[in-house]
Amino acid sequence: MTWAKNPSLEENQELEPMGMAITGMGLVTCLGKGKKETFQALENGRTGCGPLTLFEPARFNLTNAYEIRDEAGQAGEPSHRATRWLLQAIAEAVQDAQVDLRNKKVAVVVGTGLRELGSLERWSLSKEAFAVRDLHFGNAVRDFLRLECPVLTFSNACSASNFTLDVAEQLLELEEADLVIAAGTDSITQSMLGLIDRTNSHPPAHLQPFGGETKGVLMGEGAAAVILEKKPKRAGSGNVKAWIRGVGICCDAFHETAPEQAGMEKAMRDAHARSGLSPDEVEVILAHGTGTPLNDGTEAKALTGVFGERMKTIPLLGLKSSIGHTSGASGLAAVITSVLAMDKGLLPPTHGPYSAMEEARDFRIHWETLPFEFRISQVNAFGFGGVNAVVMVEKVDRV
Amino acid sequence: MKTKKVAITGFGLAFPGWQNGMDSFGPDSFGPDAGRIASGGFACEDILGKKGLRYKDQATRLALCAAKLALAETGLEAGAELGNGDGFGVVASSNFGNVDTVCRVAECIEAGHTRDVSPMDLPNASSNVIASNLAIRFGLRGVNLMLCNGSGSGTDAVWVAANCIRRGRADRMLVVGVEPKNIYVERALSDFSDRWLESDRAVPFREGAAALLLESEEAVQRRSAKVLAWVGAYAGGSASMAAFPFMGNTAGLEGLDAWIPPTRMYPPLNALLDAWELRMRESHHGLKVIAMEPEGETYGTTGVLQACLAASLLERKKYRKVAATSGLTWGDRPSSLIYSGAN
Repeated sequence: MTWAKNPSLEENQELEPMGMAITGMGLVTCLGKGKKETFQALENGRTGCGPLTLFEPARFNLTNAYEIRDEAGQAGEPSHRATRWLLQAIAEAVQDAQVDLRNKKVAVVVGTGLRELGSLERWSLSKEAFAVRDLHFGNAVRDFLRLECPVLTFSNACSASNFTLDVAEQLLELEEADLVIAAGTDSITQSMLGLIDRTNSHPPAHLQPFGGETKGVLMGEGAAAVILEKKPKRAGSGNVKAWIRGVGICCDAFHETAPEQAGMEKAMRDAHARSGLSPDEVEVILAHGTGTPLNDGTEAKALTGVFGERMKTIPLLGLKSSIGHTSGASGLAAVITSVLAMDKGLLPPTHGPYSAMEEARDFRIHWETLPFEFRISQVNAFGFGGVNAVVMVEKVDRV
Repeated sequence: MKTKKVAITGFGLAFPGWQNGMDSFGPDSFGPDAGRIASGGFACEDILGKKGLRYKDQATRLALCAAKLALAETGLEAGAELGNGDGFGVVASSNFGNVDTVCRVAECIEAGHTRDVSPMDLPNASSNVIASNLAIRFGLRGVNLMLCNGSGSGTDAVWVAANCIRRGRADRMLVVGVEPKNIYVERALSDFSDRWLESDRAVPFREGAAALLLESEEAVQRRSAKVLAWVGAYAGGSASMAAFPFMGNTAGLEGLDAWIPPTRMYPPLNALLDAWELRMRESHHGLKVIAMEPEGETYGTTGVLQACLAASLLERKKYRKVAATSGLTWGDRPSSLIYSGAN
């Protein structure tokens, strides 16, 4: 253990205005075991939706999920899924950043909805041995990176990985770390899948963000990781892939599962304010868009509340249509998708087509890949318990 | 903007089954003020009222109790002082919080079909149900974080919450550590007790919740609140003796006169703890080592409970500066924080 670089930082020290540099990225989804593979599949309009194989389908009403599958098209190894993909995503991100972690003061922040509860369930059903110390990801991450560093596992529901960016910014700003690995991961658990099944009498075959007819969420699996450092003093220095301009955060303090429009709007405005951006500067929105009338209707009204008539022209991407609801990983999966889209100057489609709900009738949702140059995007994430986290991403011109 | 100093202005404890005279460390350890502590046999309804508790799990109930006691004691519980709760956030720490719901629902489905489960279990299946309930119950609309970080989780929660205030993300933070006890927890504990206890006894477990109230210096001054202690520097992530943090000339440690170490319950860890204690005593003349042994593992609650104890000791001017270390249980890495008294 070493103390914070400057323990007297608590005493009335001036903090530099923040924003963070993304220097590496890693992504594992049902569409691919790496960010390039996933993005190429998105660009080709593919979806990872398929029949449920991880659990016995006869026990469920729903038929489909966005599972990460093996070569045989099956869910494959059921044990320690969330941990396995987390490490894969982190490995890809570290490789992407070309950084030697031993030279840095590192902290790792992992956002998850369900941690390693999938393996705990299997233990309770006497299907495997399981140690409680593996419920959180600290030991696995430290062993994998061969680093003795703080690892924080946050169970922050569906917005968890956007929250990790706020914690990362906190640690960098206060000089508690030089480099933060912010990550998200989730696998599908029987209990969460089952409770979602129990509370939706007409489960859909596909997840359709802001959809008008088929209604409901379908679970996905995945992991995402980004390497974050303070903005370099000199432009063009460092291996910067994109900027995180700012993160907007709030809690509705309203309901355990239902969202609140005012809270969503507040998080968006907080994100804009912290980023020094006006709503007019936002060029692309990656919605939370879970396919449930409750989230999507509320989110649509909140977006209209903040952006007004511009919602007719700002391209809106519903990534969950292609990769499912990856819960803790979903925020960072969208951030990474946005960076790749900025680099390529194109937006992958929302998987469809389908007719949109009334509240989103005029939104600009595209069903084919859209050539589109943009510099500023907004990534929404809203979780159970009214935990709202909105991230502003800015393009970096790569050399 | 400038970093802000972080004060502890209150705490509350809810530990069923915990009694003075039975444990070497009990409610008495917190001094004569009984108002903040619910122990022995108590009903959550007596503290919280009957309304709205019906489908809440045990961890959520205990967390709400401890929080209520902390907030009531400091007069922050509602009304003009709280305002609309925008600058008031929550960090909760728990590992076992919802495992009873998760395992029970998984088993129910395994034995039949999803039609057999109760939809009322959906909120409790989300691991952040404790943190969101704290926000809903007390109208806290700031940052809301649920830390499930193993045995150092409570200390990490205090650290993250203090950082939120330091950088202006919040004026006030409620930090709550809680662990419930149920058949799944007991089964998990007995599954690896032989390795950690070097016997076939099950690991004893103490369920309960500890709540801590943090405020920025300005928030404290605005309402002329009493400061129990200030939150200082953090160290975490490594158990290596080479990186041992408590050497005498490390900044922030001058004047350290007390240390709350991790539990002594596990024989395999005692050699390391002996070595640490030796180094601590060498580095800090006259150091008092305060054993906090609540007759059972407190896991994700530990770090917050330590902070409450430190705040209590500093408030009563027993010490000037207290370090507290949690973690190490079952192979996790330790986390430490420094607390100093208000002069």
